[in-house]
Amino acid sequence: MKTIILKTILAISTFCISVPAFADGSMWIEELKAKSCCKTTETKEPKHKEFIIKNGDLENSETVYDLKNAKLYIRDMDNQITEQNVSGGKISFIPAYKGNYYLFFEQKSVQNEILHVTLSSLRVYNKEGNITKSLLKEVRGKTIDSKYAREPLTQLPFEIIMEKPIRKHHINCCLYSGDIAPFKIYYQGKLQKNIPLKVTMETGWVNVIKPYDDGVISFEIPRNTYAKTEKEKKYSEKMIVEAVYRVNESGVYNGQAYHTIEYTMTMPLSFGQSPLEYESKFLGFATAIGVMLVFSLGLYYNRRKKRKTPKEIWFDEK
Amino acid sequence: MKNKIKNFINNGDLRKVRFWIQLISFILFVYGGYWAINLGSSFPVFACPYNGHAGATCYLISLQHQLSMPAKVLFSPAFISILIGLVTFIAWFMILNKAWCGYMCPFGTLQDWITSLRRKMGVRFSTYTQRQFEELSKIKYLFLIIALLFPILIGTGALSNNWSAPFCQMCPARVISPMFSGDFSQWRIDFSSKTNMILTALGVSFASLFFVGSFVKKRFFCFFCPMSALHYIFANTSIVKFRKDGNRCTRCGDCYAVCDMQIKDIADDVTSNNILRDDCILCLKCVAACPEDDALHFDILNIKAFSSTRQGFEKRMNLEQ
Repeated sequence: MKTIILKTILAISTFCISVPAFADGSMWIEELKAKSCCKTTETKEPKHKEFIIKNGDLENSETVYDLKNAKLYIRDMDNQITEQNVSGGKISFIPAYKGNYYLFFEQKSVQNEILHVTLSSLRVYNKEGNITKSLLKEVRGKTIDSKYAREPLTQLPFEIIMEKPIRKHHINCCLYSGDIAPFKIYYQGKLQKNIPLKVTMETGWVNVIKPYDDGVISFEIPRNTYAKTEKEKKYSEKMIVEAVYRVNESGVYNGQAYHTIEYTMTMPLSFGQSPLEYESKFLGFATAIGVMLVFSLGLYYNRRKKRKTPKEIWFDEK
Repeated sequence: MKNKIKNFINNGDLRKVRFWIQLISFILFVYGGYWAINLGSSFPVFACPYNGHAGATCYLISLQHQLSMPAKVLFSPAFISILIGLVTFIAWFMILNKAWCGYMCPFGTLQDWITSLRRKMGVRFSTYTQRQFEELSKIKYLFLIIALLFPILIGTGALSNNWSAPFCQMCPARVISPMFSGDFSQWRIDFSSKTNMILTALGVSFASLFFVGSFVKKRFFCFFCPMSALHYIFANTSIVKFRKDGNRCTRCGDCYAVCDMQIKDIADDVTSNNILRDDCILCLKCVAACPEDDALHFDILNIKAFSSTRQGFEKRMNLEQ
């Protein structure tokens, strides 16, 4: 009996310690894509990219229209950072060049004497750049730039950074189910080794993952067993990774005193179904061997009929 | 001094020179990525980007991706990006003309190595009849049309995205090139759609045909290579020319006999000055095998860089004996 009670106490205490103070809803940045019906006609001017801030969970989320005290940092492929104040409900910027842009959203508010610092980052690939502005960057943008393991942004106190995923398939560009996605969490530019990461999938799968000793937090992107793949085998799904960190620090923000700062960083990501789900290496090799056999036998019989050796010359053949 | 250099080149052992150039370029294009070499994505050779460690990227894949942009974007200022790629391709191509195939292409080199293996095994080689040659030579233009037209049709909405980079999906280089860095993942059939299934099955089949075909026929795949067809379109822009002096030609046929690509014109045509044909890979074996002084010559900026000479021919004969 005593053992059971002890075990129960131990389990409850472990649970209380390990589960971090994750908020009920997450806040993340999302690209606003124009519907195909409503696309404007092409102009020579570079296009605006528009973003919104979502609050809630992936199934039930709502757009945040009041973005006061918010800032946006945009890091381009040259690591140049531009700061932009945000107001209203939409965020927009004009990417000049073709390539990857990193957006960092930051909003601060004080509630119950806690300073909430809400952060979110998003990578955006700009397909159409301003060609007249820089020809060289148009060419370079295609080949250079790694989207993984980038340096933490000095302007952000707390950040989740994605490392290069480990893949079991051949496609290098994107994330797929079955890939092992590694992350690192930085506070004030320093790697943190004890902050867990909450992962939420569109399908409802939620997990809190603790870091390894080296600070890397990794998990295998789960396969969606319920996806309807009869018509379209290459579906895309969203997920959000989130980390929360509390620091006991006092201060005043916008005239409101606080005794604790709570940093919440979210990173929305999308992934597809693993190519291994709809590809067959076995049949590939079987086809290859079959073709080789048929072709070789055909050649063999054809060459048996033609006994005459073609004219050969000293230069290349004996 | 000038004559000494000229004699040294004209009487040199072409096979050794070619072997080393091919080996170095093979390492560069297949393993260049290991040394962070990235020569860009507009290269006029089959340096396949499916091999994650390639030192450069074949132009056909970037061209197909660029052409598959939505029609509105394609016919907007964004078209300049396609022009940049094309100009870069032509700039690279101008330097060597079709010698990219004969000396630099890793896929061509692989075929030459398979030929060497066959020779060592004592298996006799095959040739096409003239009629077969003429028919098969047209296939590369068909592949080029597929590579250019289908992506445009994707952009217009007439074809689905499954047809994206259609030639690459069929290309044997996609399947074979990654193998050199230990990646056998391209020997697969993609069942995500009927189109992908057919294209990837064709890719695997062509890769198998490549091995069997290259074993018995020299430069087997080069007859079907759309890059070779694309090269020929821009052949006149190159600083490198391949010329023949018909007055010096005796039509002995040695050049034809050594030609891996079975180009009959090299021996028969005594009227054309420019003897470069669409199937030519500019390996220059014909120049080395020609016994007539200056009958065939390889010119760079209209300066004879390598010419056929009686002396060179005899020297090479003795070397072989």
